[in-house]
Amino acid sequence: MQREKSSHIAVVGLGAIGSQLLPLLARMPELTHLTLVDPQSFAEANVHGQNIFRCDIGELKVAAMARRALAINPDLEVTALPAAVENLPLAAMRADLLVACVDSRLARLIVNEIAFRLGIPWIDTGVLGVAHLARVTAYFPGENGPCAECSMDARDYALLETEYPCGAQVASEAPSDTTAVLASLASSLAANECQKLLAGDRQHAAVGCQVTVDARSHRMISTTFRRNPDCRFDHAQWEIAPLRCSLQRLTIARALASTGPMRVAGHRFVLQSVCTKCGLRFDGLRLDRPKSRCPKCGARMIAPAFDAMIDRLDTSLPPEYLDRTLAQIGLRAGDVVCGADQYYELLPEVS
Amino acid sequence: MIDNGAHADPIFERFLQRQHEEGKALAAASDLLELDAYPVAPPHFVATFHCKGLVRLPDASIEEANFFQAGIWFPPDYLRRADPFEILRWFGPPNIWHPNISDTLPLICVGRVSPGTPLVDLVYQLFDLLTYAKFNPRENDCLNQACCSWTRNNQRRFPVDRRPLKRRPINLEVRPS
Repeated sequence: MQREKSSHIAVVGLGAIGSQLLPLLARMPELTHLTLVDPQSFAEANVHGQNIFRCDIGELKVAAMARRALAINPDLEVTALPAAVENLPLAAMRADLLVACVDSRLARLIVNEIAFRLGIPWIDTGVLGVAHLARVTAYFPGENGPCAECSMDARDYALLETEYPCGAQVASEAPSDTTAVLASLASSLAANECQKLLAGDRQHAAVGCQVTVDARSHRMISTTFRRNPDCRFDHAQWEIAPLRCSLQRLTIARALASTGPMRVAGHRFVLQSVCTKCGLRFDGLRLDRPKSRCPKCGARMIAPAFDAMIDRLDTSLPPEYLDRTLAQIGLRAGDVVCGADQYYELLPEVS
Repeated sequence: MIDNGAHADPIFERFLQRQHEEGKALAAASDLLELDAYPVAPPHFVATFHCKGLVRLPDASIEEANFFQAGIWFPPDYLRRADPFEILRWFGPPNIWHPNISDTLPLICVGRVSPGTPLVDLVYQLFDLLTYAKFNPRENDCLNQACCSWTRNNQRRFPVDRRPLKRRPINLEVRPS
């Protein structure tokens, strides 16, 4: 079947809601490409709450769900990315629409940021099991509309998941009280918004509006958000120019000559890292993404001093670092670097 | 120009400016605190405390000391995400004796650090740790395991300094009548 237009949706999170949403998206005739993002594998405990089979247990969520999508629609192009969304190159998330089916507040903010930077509409879904609520919200970057952070205050930021040096791994993780029934309801709401946005029917989509279904009392509540002038997020959409290069050959010195001082938004470079538990030490410049873990004991590694942590690369770096290649310091194709006067997407050379 | 400076975001710039002013005001009202701002990359603050705290001497005895330094750094995305592993660094002395300050690495655990927690709040949290007004002596939630049981067994000594952080000495001249 020849399609008139290609449509690409990226789904972040393939748990309770994401696993219900996938088959609905795969059945949309207008959809041609799906990108799936989730670092986890399915576990025994997921069988009751998520749309999976026993044979999926132990498999990466992205792999199992890609197989399911292709079983429904073999013409789909499916990209499976088994990684946390914050650790992916920004451009890997380029699509016509992003859908966040995550139970982590932090992951939701990261999807919000990605969508605004790339200028892509995104849909947020969620449930509150204890109150029988399912909700959906669509955000449209670039038109003075609200973002997911516009309605947040200091108390909401305090609830973001955090790891602490004293050993407590995560604080304030959102309680997961999702049921398969509510997740299915939320995924249907999200699929409905996806269909409208892909069809260009913005007028009827829940843009800047949270639609909540109260399944207990059969009510539907619609809440409109406005952009908050004091929002902590800058809402900027980036104009990104391609920078074709061989990451294995291009040295930092040569890259800096093209881009000027360079940084990767949301990430830092480290010159040295040390394990917070066993003291194992590594020297050498690299992008601290993901936040590095000790290969020996698994504990978090940190830069031992402030001057071992750098926000941007410039020509003041010692020569032994300037001669390293972009791949050697952990940059990947699809990364977007901020240069002196332009954002650049690192693209592989065309052979 | 685009947002390539470490702190080009105007909201964050205002936040930093406010921290600078509030920190200066607190240091001016305290004889136990000095606060210095270092604009070098990455721009950070160094808090020097002259309150009483504890150190372990080479002969393993625990003694009081009155000079402690910690570094505080606000990353450009601090108003939206806070990573306690990055924000605070222990500068010294290296033989500090506290269950929540490492004596082998420059790590401090002050507990919850929400995005946008002001400098002054962090300084107070550090002060509470140093004076043992606040401590968590659980072996599975600490940075100095050897110090945990000692802390549990010596709680009558705490806090080791009861003076408030915000105070100034008053020069009084008493004349005999």
